[in-house]
Amino acid sequence: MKATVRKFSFMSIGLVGCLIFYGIVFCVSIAFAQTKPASPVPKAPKELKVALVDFLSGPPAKAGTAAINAGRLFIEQINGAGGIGGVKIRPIIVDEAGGVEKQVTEYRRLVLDEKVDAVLGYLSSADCLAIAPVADELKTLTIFNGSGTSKLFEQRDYKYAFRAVNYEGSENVAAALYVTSMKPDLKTIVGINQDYAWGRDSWETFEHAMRRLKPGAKVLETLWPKLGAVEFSAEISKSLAAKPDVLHTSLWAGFLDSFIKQAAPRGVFKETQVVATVGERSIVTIGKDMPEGIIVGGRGGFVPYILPDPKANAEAKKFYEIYEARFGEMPIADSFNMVQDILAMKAAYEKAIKAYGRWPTTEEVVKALEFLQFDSLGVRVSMALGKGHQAIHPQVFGITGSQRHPKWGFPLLEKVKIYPAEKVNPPSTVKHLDWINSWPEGKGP
Amino acid sequence: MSLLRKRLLTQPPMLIAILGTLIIFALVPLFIPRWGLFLLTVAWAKAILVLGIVFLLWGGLVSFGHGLYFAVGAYAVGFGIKVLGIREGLVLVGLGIIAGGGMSCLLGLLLARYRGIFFALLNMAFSMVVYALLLKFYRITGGTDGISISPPTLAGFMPSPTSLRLVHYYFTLGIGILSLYGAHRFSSSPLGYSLRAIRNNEVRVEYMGASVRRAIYIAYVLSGILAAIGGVLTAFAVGHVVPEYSYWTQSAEFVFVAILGGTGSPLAPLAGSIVFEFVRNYAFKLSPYTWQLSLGIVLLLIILFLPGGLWSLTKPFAHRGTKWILQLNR
Amino acid sequence: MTTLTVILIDGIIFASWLFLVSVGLTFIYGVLRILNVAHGSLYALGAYMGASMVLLYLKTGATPYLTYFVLLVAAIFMGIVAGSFIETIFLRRVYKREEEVQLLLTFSLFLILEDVIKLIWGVSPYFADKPYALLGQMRLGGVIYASYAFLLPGIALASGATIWFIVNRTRFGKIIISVITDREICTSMGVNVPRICTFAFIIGAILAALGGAFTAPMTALVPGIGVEVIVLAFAVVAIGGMGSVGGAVLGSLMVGLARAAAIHLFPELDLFTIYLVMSLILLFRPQGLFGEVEVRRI
Repeated sequence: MKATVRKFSFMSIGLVGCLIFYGIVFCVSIAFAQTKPASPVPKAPKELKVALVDFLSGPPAKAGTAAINAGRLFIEQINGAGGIGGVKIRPIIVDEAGGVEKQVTEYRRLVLDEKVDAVLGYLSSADCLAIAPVADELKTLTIFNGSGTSKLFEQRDYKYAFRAVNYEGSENVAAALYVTSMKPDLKTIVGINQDYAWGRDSWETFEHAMRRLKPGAKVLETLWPKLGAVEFSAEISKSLAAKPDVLHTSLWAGFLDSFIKQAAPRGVFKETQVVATVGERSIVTIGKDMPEGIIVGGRGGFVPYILPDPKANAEAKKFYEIYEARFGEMPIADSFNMVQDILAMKAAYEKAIKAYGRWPTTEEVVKALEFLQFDSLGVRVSMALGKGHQAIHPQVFGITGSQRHPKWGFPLLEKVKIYPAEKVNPPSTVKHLDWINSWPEGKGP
Repeated sequence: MSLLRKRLLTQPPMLIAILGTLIIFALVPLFIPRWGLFLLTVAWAKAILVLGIVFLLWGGLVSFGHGLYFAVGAYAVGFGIKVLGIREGLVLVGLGIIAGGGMSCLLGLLLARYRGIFFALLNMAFSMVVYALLLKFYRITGGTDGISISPPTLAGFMPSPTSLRLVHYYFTLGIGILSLYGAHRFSSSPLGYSLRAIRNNEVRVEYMGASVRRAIYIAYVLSGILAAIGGVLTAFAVGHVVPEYSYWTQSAEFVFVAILGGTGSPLAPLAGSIVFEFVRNYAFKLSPYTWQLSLGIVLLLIILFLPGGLWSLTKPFAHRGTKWILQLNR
Repeated sequence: MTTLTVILIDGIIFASWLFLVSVGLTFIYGVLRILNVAHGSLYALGAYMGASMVLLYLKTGATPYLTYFVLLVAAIFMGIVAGSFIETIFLRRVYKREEEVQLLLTFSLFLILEDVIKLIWGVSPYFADKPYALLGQMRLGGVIYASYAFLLPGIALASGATIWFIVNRTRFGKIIISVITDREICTSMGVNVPRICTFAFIIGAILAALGGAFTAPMTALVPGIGVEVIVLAFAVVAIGGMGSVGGAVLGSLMVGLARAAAIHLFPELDLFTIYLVMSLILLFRPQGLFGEVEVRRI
């Protein structure tokens, strides 16, 4: 009996072809992985592979791109001056978009497949909470910056996870101090924060601080838009109906931009004093359309041209110039966040190299980074909290004014206050909420 | 011919195939790096879930809401560890089965009455309700942040950090092979055949005396249980569970894998799942902004030109393989 | 009673938006019997096209009051282009297959279009808010609203009225109704059914793009705005009855008011209300409020 000849359609051949192709790619990449030299050696490796992770798509894209640009630029500068201990850094760029599970898988891929030596970045607090335990599991140096949730180091101790930039605790304490100094007769508050660690923690800190500073103040509403939402008309309606004296929001990057654009035509900024704890990025992205009279802080305490101050520090001035020349725009807080992470890593490696006289292991670098104090473009940073894993440094707050920056056109901040690190952070072993609750009533720290 | 060989060769070819799969995948860790092992673990876990979807596809039903059971299984692990303090993996699997099975028994009573688009939509609606639940009750479920899963002990034995992923892989493989065997038994059982008949013509099956409702209900419950098991194993592998597990795009991804692999055999979802995980990862690595495009094109091509999925490509080989085994038998 | 007024106003604004995004979906289902998952992508395409056209137009320095017209043109253009492309090249091949396969085909188109949007327009947020800010504000029920928000009910009414007019008062509408009722008889009577289907799909696509274009000035446009829209549109269409435009009106009103009430009274439940309403209605009346029970052919 003749066997029937099965006709393969063109498409199935194509599909099989694609599969074979992918199979070959896969095998080749495995082969490559297996021919790399394996264990750490007393002498320095060929290069230091560092992954930079930040949002390159979605509402936070501008913030993430600024961070990655600054990171790449700064690494180029370091490599130009000889690298770290004579070793050049090779950055690998990863987009943080796609959700928590995707990022966890990506992190594993970076460590197990790309074999990076360190991972820096992460803007979303949800991502950092998920990644930190995996950092410990895979024993890889991981330094967070943008994500600011206080839960990170107050709920658990980590060995390999660090945050080289301050967290929401300092921002919201500073916000409370600033708004009570600007508007001492405030009576009612409304909070609009995103429903995840960052939003929940920010509100909690602010509310606790306000309760101590202004015991008579009342919270009228708390609203929790979903993380990812860019439409806030209902929340705006609700807060307009409540007519509070102060509106607290930790909305950030593109989310805050949307909020401001939807709220401004509805007169929100005239009817209530808005406190945007990380509003600095929006000043730059919205530019001349940014309403006046908003109290604004910077993520990580940074506000361009105020902190780091190019007039006060030569390195800072150089960085501003190179960045603006290269990218045609000014650096924002996220740029400095990433730079600070890189400087932290560099300082730790250099301290360990000096101590051991050779290229250090990851554990030795981790030990060197704990409780380290270093200089970041003129800002003094100290890894004082979270058992030496959480940085503290000064925090800037101001109000958007009517003057415009001569070159870039964004509104300049007025009545600027720079809070020293010790004023807005608890002492070393105390949780920040406990510290806030210990303030004498009606007075600050 | 030796007795063992004779007994081996008179088994149905599917069993031999499953045995072969077990042997191949048991040996695979020797050849692939740790990263590939992780992907394979996740692929197996999701393949178990897709088996459930394939059961429903046999009955002519597409569910766009199985992310619900996936999330139920995953969060069962989360709550089991966080609230009940359970540290043992097998107990957590059991917990997942109970949770998923209970949920699907309940929802199946309602959903088994629907067909076609309404079945798909209602499943989607319920999965979105669960998504909203998981998202909003921040204090209990952690909201968008999700719940971190620390590695459990497996059969009382806590694997060392270096062998952790390997042990998880074998654990997942074991449960996976059991599910494959179960699926094979189900597909060759009268219930499995009546399910396929239902897809063809439901009314005739009723007239023949078989209970359509019972078949669909049981298929639905089984698919819910398999999905929950998949969720449990994924939670172990990834180490973090999030509400997005119940979002409709996750359910759509499972249906995609089912169609990609094909519905011809219990091994098909495995093939589909492995191809999907590996292709997705490497496509993402090569070009992060066009991998959805490539997946979409692949799905399109399969729908238009290869409706039996990738597994239908093995038909000529399966045919020849069976002939070869039967010849050996003479 | 301020809260009640605010709930009503917010509810109606949201309901108009829901109607705009779901009327196209239900219309396409009515004529073609396909539930189009790519509807969300058509919405997103309309939004992006509208936004970029507005930004381009504003660069020319012409009067900003015409930006509304620009949005309309962009939506119609996108609807015609994308609609005809999708229908003639992809959908036509699966008319004879089961509805699940058709659903999956539209899902694959959704995946493809998501990335196409990223490739064309990039991944950074788009802000085309001049049309939004231009109309100023008005005070209603003690709360200030952007006047733009009241454009939405207007557009929703206009599109609803246009559809009603097309279906009930034109010859084309009568042909569409006959195609919906019995395709085979229509073919045998000489109606060019494939062309009617293409037109119907284009109308649905234009409606989707219209929803997107007029929403664009209100929010930041980012990749992925279509994803959430799909499930909302499905919910409204399922509630109202698939294929029924009147059902879409009722469905959007129900969901819109329910959501507004939830946000103001039980903020934790706002996400639920939509899916809960959908599940409840589907449980007790699976064909939706105005839907027809499908008789299964043996």
